[in-house]
Amino acid sequence: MSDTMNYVRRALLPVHAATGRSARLTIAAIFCFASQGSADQGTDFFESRIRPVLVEKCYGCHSAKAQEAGKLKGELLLDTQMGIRKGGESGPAVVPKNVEASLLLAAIRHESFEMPPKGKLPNQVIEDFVKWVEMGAPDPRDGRSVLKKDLIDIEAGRKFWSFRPLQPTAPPNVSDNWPRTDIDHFVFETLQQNGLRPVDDADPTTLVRRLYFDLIGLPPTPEEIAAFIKSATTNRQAATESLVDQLLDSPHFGERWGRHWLDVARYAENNGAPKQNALWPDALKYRDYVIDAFNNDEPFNQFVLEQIAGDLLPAESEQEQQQQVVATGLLALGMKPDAGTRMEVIAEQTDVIGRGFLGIAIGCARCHDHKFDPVPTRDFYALAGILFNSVPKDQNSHVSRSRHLAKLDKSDIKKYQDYIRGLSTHNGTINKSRARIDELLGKKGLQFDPLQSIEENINQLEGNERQKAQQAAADIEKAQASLKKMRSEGIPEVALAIAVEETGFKRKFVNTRIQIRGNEDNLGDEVPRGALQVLTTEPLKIGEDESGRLQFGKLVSSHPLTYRVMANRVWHHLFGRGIVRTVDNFGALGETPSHPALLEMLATRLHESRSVKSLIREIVLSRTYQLSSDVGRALLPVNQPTGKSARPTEVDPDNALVWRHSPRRRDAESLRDAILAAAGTLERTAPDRWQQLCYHTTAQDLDAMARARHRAMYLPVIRGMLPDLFAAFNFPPPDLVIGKRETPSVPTQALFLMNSPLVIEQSQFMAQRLLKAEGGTMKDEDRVVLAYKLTLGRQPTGDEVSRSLELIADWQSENEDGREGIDGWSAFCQALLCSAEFRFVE
Amino acid sequence: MTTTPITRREALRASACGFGSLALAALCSDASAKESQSPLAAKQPHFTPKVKRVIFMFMEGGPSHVDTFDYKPTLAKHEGKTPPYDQPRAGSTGHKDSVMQPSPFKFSQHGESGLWISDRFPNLAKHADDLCVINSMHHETGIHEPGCVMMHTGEFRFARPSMGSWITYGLGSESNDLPAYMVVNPRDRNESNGCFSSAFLPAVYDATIMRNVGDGGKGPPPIRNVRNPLWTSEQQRRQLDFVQAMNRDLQQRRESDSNIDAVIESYERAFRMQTAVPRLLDFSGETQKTLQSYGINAKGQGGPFAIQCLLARRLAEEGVRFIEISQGGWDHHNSLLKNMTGSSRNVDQPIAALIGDLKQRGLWKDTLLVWGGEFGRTPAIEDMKDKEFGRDHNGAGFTYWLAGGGVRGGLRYGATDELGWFAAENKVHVHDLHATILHLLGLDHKKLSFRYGGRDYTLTDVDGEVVSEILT
Repeated sequence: MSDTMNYVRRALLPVHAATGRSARLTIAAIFCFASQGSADQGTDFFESRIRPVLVEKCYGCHSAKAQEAGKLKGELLLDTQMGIRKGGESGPAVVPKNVEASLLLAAIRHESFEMPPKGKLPNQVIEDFVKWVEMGAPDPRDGRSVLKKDLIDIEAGRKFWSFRPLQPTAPPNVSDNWPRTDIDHFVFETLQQNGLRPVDDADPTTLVRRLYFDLIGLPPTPEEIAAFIKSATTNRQAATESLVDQLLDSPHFGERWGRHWLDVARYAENNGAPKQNALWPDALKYRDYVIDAFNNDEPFNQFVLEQIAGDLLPAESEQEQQQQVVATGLLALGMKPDAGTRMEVIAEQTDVIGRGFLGIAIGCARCHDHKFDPVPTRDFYALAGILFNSVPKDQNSHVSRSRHLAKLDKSDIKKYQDYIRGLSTHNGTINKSRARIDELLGKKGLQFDPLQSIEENINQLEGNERQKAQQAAADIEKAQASLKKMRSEGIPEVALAIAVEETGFKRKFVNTRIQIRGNEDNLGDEVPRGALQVLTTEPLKIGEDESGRLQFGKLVSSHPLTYRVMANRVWHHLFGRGIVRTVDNFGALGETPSHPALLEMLATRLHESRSVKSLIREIVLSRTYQLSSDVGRALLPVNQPTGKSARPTEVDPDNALVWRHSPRRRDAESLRDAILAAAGTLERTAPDRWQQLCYHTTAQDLDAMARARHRAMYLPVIRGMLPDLFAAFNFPPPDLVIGKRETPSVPTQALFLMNSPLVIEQSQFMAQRLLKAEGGTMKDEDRVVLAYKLTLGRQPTGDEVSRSLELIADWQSENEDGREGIDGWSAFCQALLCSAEFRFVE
Repeated sequence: MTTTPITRREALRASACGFGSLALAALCSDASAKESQSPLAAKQPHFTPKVKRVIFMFMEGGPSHVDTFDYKPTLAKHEGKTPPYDQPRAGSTGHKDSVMQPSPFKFSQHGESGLWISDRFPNLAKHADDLCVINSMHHETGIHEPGCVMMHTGEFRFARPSMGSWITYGLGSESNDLPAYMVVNPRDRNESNGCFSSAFLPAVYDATIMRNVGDGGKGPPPIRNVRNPLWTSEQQRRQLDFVQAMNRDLQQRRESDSNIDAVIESYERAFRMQTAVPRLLDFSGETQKTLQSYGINAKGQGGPFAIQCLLARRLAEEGVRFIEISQGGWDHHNSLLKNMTGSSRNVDQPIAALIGDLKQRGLWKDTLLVWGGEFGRTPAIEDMKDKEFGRDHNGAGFTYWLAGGGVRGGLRYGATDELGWFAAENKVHVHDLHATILHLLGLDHKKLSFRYGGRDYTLTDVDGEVVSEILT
């Protein structure tokens, strides 16, 4: 525990300590009576045999001093008579004359806890303790033990800014004609208050690249850039609006924004625990569900509700019903630990619900009342009770099995599984054989040339090696033929999904009991199923024949917090920084909003429209979003608090107040897609299910993944086995709920861009594209211009053109191996792909 | 207009967790807005460190402690008897019909300290006075995969950052050419199980993994993407100069954008790494004597662990912060006599050579060696039908040893019960071991924290105490 947390806790202590006092006085009074009658002899025994052991072995973690130092364990104070008899959270440590009931004895005998943790006490000492308890536990230590425990004030919690009802306010009036939309008014006012002014608007080239990147995650083609610039010259606003609408309607929108959500949903296609590591081909259905939801602009409340309780919602068709069940994949896609308990799985589910939708870490309350947010342990177990009756399908299994969506025949399931196994086998053969050819070429110092056919590559080999390579090529052909046949036969689909099911426990709907300090052998009160108290003043009405998941889902999908969190996520993805920077934490440990009133307005808009697309549209059409990313040359006016003029970078170096648009690094997926787009090899159409299954079954082959042509968001996400592109470029670990990706620039990224098969191969394709452009008649200068447009979306300067030609010529003079000078061009193309300008979006 | 008012208490809380606390500020800096500084820049420890780096020798499979470094003479009296425990529990799989089995190996005392070591380690025994043996290690699992993850991350149920990641996060890199955290030839499943992962720490603190080390260059390069298949080094430099010129142009247009600085720096570091990695594996500069001491021939061939030990020394010289090398095959369920003989032979001479080599080069005092597996083994026979008996897994009591700077050599610390099944005296949990390793590096395990999901995490969770008795 950090000093910071202790610091905060101490600061809060006086209030809470007072609350606990009166109750404990009563207890002390009772026990004073109980110890009467102990003879001096008893006190001597205590002083000589018991107290020294307590001091030496126990006080370190169980005394007022330990409490002061923040080291108190188990809420147990052993340094006063009152403390030792009251005991800790598991019950009385010592009950005079009752050896059985004295937990302290069980602990030092290692029957329950193992105390002291460093090693068992000598038998003689243990016997002394037994004797002492039998004597009536004489104990002259007076003094009062006060457990300084924070009691959570739910009512106060509801008043915390993020839990309050939405409080929209009218946009402020500002005496300046800069603002265009409501958003701009809020932003401008804050800038003004801080002595800042927005920089210029972004130029159209920058703006069009930014919009493509943010809305669909793909770069615009040179033609698309030119078209936008042309129409923006006549009417910039109209051109922008029409482009935004076009992009929001694009099927690629859902791929981009769906992937953002999948980060939060810790989406993966396998369980990922060391032992229990099943592959989940049916998880792909959840991914498709998410993409479709964003593309169809599914009402946001519905999107939330379906993922918590889709299986319990009415449906108009069987298909709709199945889709809704698939949505609950959110609750089933987490990693289920080996030898994990049900409660561990439930804690993981509360994490994705809590942090994903509500921005609060509910899981903390599993072992103790939340230290900062108004979530008592009771509330965790109220929610755990709801989840306990629903997930997973098999009470003995913690691995999500594919859930049957309809009555299924066993033989049909087997057919389906065999089919997938077949895909795995044939694709495996292709990849292995291809690796074999690479290896044979490598032995001769040759490199597989992706611009040539397999046969042409093999022809460079001779004799025995050539034969071996030909055999491998034949295997590839054979496997491809088998795949073709399988494809034409179609997937013998069965209605399975990774999802949850409302089962109850042994067909009854039950509550859970508090597990004290998260220990499942140490049970406390049973807690009625329900929601976190801080979320509602009215307890959920849960019947005896239901878990309450539906009621809870309805509460979450309508709660203001959910809308604040989502509106902030949207802002975060469009600006690279949330209004609340800690996007997954809206609790007391989260940061406070930089623009509170703006966030209220955006959350309200989302709450009213339920439309994520409308929210995005409103934001990107604001002048704020369309600011240049240039720092700007001008000094700020002299109305600075210091009375001096200053640079904006000095006043707000992190651009928290949005006086410009912060440049952002491309994430793993959009970088990879931009590389393929420049090379002209990107397959823009989404892979169908058959192709997705092929990727899914061959995820472990990194080289095969490097040869994939569909958008990167369709590459398989296998826990513990991510493509190296993802590993290098901060793809979030799929075990964790992550709304904000890390963005450092590190050598592994540089190495990937300099040496990876993917980038090298794509550079060659791009070089070929340049050389073949306009029927191969293009002048070298024009080829350089085209390369700049394809990668950076702009014209090169004269200086850049000559530098480029120099680089290419350098290569040409050295490499006269009859490859028509392609090497120089691919070295040049790769250089552009490596450049910082390519890796950032302004 | 009205903004949402924030109460004083809210403000206090928010500032305390954001940037207010000085103690945290230094450590938070990477995660916070100050991304400008390279996250790998060397950082100040919390207090004066005893060592600069760690070489973790991971003995996968779980070496039997009662046959190596935990001498249990009393076991002989129980030979063939059922275990005198109600029920062997906590970490061992346990078999109903198993009987106690003393070690078939001879133990004797070594060095001035008289440390007990079994006869399977004749070379290492010469360094007895350097070894700080902890006989009272324990944790909560007796299964391989979780055990491995536990030893690396302190947790086996959930994804947590590896010890090496925490250390790199806390101290940054000492090397200009190489990553701070390097793992040599790990078992694949340990990687996918998250033994070397930075989990929620920034990805920059992930381990860089070297594979195929010791295969004589036959297989793929040891680090993925570290070798360019097309261009010579000179060509690549020219290409990179072009890239960096573009980057500097952009830098000028952007004026002082630290992100561009980071990109520029990352290319230079990557380029240096490309030359450093082959250099690391080129043993031609080593003397014959040095090679021989490890058991490596003039061609640079030798046992895999011998090569790893020599590589570990070279990585230490390069300033790599956390080095992990490993030797599998310790899972001696049967034929203990034969298997233990083989396993110990794999590591005995190379480790002894590494100790001598580090001392000779003045690296000893700055380096901490850590030796051990994912758990130990039961002092009972696992399978009664197996005449050449073996032992089962046991997480309830096992042995690790430390050596190098800051730890007391020739010490036997803590103990299992007299039969060697359970850690009993001065128990050292994995968290305690981790706390102690961090301490030796100048890091306070309670302060080295990272906020994730609304909570401050540490390597040792809320537990762990530095085992101060073993420190110099």
